[in-house]
Amino acid sequence: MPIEDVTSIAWLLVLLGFIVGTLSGFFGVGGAFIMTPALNILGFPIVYAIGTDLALMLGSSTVATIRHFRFGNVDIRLGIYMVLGTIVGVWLGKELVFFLLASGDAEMVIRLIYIILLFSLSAFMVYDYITFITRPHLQANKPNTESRGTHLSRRLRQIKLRPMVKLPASGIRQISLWVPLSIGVITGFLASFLGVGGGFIRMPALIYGLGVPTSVAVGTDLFEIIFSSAFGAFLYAMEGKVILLAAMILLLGASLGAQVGSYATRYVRGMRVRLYFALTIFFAGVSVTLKQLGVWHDIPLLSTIAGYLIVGVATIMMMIIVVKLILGLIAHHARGDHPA
Amino acid sequence: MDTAFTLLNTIQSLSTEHPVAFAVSVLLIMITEGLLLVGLISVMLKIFIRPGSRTRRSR
Repeated sequence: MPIEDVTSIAWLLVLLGFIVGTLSGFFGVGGAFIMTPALNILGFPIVYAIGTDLALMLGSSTVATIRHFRFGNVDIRLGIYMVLGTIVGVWLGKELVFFLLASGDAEMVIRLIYIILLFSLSAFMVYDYITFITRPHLQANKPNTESRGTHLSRRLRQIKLRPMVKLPASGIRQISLWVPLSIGVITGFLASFLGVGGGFIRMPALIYGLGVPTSVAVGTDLFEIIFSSAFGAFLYAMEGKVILLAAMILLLGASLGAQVGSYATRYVRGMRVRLYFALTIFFAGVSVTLKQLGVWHDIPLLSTIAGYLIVGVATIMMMIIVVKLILGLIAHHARGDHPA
Repeated sequence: MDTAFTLLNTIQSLSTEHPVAFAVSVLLIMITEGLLLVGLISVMLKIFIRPGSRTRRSR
């Protein structure tokens, strides 16, 4: 794509970067499931869209991680354990994909698992939210609800397999090192197997698997995305599939959006962040299903609708986050204190 | 502006002849731009938002 073509849509790229950056900073995801189809709609060939998005993710996750770090939302120790596990998981996932490719039906199996995973995660998180709001005794203990962790996380913390580690930033007094490593392996495996960044798997895994508070899960996930996106961007750039100018323009909007999203996590309750996240990945699931139906039945229009659907949902979600941030800031100013 | 575009074109053209140099440039440029923008936005927030919080100072 020539530089003139990129500059002619510069404002659109800045806006798109802002939308995805906001969601990235708020949910702790890379946002490839929004950015890649959006760039494709704007005329980027799909391989260039992926490569350029990975380069953008590196910049925007750096911005969002710094902001979350200042809020105390990044557990660096946990992030490093997860990165180590993820490396092993990514390698295992790649091996399985190659095995399935040799047997023939890889693509269909992978897409079906991706769709099932998106809908299952979304349904589980909505169920979790509904359970929370319909049980008055849980609402009464709101401040403690997150620190107590989930049923699964409490059971995992009881595993006494040495070495044991402390993760104070995540509110975990003691846990077997093998637990975060294993979760890293599983999420890395799924991400590599499905060919996605994996932020949307890691964020709920940290919350429900390790019992990490939502804001720390978001910050720690972003910290991990720095490494995964750097690796991905390097590989795509080696093949010349990154349009540097487009990535730089996208980052202008994304860096502002990432900070808006990060700030907004201070004014929205963890359970509400989970609900918004569940709704976003539900529509991502609908979008992927439409796209896949378009491929299977050879209807290109469905792929186009899928792209517009996910960009539309992302835009609405960005507006909700911005409104929540503005309302939160107004409330803070009214009380006379100041954030950060 | 033209100089910036020429520089970017030169870096982009590295992708065919020196892919490793291009890949390293992409990583460095994106991280540096990210860090610069964090700094810039922090300074702007301090300039435009902090002076408005008179309530805290008056206390």
